[in-house]
Amino acid sequence: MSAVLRTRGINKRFAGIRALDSVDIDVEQGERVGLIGPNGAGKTTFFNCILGILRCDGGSVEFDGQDIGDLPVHDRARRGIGRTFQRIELFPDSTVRDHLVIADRVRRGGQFWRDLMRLGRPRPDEIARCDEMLELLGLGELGAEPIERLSLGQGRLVEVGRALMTGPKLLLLDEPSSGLDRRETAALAQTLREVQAERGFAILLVEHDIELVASFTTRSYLLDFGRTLVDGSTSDVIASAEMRRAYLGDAGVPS
Amino acid sequence: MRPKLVVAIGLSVALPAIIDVVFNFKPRGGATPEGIIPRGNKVFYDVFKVYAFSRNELVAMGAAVLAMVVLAALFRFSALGLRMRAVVESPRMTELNGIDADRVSAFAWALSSLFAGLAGVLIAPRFNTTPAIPFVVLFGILVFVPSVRRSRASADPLAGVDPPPSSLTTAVGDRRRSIARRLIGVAVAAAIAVVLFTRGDSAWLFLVTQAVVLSIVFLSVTVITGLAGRISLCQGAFAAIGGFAVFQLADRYNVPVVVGAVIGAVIAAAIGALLAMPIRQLNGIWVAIATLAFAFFFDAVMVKFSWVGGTKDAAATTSLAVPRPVLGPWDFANDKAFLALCVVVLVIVAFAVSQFARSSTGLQLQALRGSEVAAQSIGISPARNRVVALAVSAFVAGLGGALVVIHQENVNYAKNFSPFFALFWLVLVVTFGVRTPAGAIGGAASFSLFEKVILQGTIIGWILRDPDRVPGLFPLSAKWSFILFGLGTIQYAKHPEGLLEMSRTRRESRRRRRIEGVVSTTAAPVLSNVGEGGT
Repeated sequence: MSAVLRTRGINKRFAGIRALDSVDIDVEQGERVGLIGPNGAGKTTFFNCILGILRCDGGSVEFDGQDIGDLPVHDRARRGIGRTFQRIELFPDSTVRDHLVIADRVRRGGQFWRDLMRLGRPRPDEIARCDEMLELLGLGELGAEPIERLSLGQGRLVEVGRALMTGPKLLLLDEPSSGLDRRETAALAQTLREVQAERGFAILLVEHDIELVASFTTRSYLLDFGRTLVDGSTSDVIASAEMRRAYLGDAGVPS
Repeated sequence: MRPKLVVAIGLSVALPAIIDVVFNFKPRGGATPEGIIPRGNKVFYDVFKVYAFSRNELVAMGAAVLAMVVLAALFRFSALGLRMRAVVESPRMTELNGIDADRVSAFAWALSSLFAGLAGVLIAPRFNTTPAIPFVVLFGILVFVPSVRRSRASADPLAGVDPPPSSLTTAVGDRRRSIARRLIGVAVAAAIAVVLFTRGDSAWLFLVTQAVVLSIVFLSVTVITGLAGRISLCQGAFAAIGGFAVFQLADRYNVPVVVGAVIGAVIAAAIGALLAMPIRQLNGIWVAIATLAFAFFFDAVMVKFSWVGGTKDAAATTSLAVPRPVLGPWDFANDKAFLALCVVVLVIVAFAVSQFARSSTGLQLQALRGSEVAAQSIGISPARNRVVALAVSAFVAGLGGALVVIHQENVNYAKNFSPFFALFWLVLVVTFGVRTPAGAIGGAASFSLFEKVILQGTIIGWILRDPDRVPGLFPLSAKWSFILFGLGTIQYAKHPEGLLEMSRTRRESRRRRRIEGVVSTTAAPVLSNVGEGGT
């Protein structure tokens, strides 16, 4: 296997606060990797640096063997980085299916003139692809619904579906279980496993639900105060003293 | 699109008209205000032997320095200044600290109005000049000094508690009812057309044709503001480019006006694309300011060039006459024939705009409008789409502007395309519905017909069967159009979908209540982004 994502020495400061401090992370093709850490650890900042939403103050981001540190956000996304957001980001004036159609068309390239000639409506093949994804996510009945009518959990699934429609090589999931109950979380994890097995992309998961991280990822990094404290198999990371100290403070570590 | 910005533009249209109606100002020819100091424009001082400053200019500079010092002290050292800065960062956090954010904002508005008024008084002696340099400088600063325009919106730690913005279009609806509504619309339009073509006099024909051609111009607002979510205040300049191009091509090269109209639209699109390039990274109010700067630059500089606003032989004539087109057997010098031509063009452009909204670019603009960061995360380039949107919008405006001058058989820049009109156009389209072609058509119809139908009492007279209408009341001043529609933007904060969509949504809601027998049919908007702080 070769690394689909390799970061070296990522630094990011906000005024006097060091949000990321020399973060090195590798994600291999087809791998499911966890990024664990308490609030304020820098997990979302790290995602933002990978995708270019934030500019790194130092370090390098290699994706699929190429340095993408100078590329704008949309170019990085087109190279195969998909993303969901901790604070849900949807398109308010769109239907559920629109979200997927937009992502599908972006992946297939500019079709401005062709679209005008074909009168712009989603074509049967586009609708079929989107409906297949909606079925996979359990949203088959909701394709024509305006996004405002969805529950938070359904909105998260739409985000996942939209990211998957771009055909990512690496999917960055930022707390996908937030707002979902246990049953929905388990269903989402199962769906992601199935889609990933079929398409072979890698997943980097930021999550507070340790149960989900433990069952879903094979390898994890523990991040706290912007630094990677431990990395290794997810079970080892979860069992580590650093993990207990990060979440529970010194009281969490037996003396 | 920010409601405060839209309402501020509406008020900037309404307030001067209100003052005008209330105080009934009459222009005085040949009189220049002396300024606030006696003999202000008659006494000069040339201390450095470089430039002789008038007393007015010295007072204005002194007042500017004093205002700067006072404001700096207010913001830096006073409790009120601290509160104002806090409200800018986060009104809700400020309120959590027991401060009435609305009151502080109201004071800030009052203070800014005071300084604007002071500036007006000081500039009055020089009011006849329209300087272009400040707008060029402003445009340059916005484009080349990114720190000036840095958005502080993300500084609000409570930004995440906002519910998602309400949808401007109702995606759900009964398809049969939608078709029925369209059929009724077509039937009404056909009935109006029959009456107009059989019994309409030249005055009515002029107004209706003007409404049709302006609908095309207003569709450009639908594209840039409705679809792309960006407020452009230079649509008048784009329309003028189309108009001037028709005249110049016909005057200098005998190009047929129909061909000239298309070329003019293409030129406007090219200039729109060029303008969009430097401002593609701007957002929100900065786009409005930059486009307004361009509109004033066009107004103060470009129009003065003979190859734009002049004739090939400046000494010969000052009239910018434009002929009506002749296409094969059809001579559009006939007003009814020209109206039919304009209706055909309007239908084509409105259809094209609808299709543009559903094209890949349209969908990408929709995504960018909803969440720029999410749109980028699926590979959408904001810059590319913004350039395309402004170019398409400028094309439509240029085409509409060309038809305006062909309709009027003359290029009358000041009465049709000045920067103020672009503000009013935006106000009208926003009031009626910025997202659909129907909103643009409604806005244009109001622009052209409101005075004749409502303010002159025609409709009241028709209802009362009384040609004298209500004695003493009609005709009302034409400025009431600016007042009513300007103030109409206040409803934008609550109903950004506009009057037409709002009434449709209400009808749909009532119908659903009847059918379902429940009090409320709108499912709770549960996507509410509550309380998740990122790191």
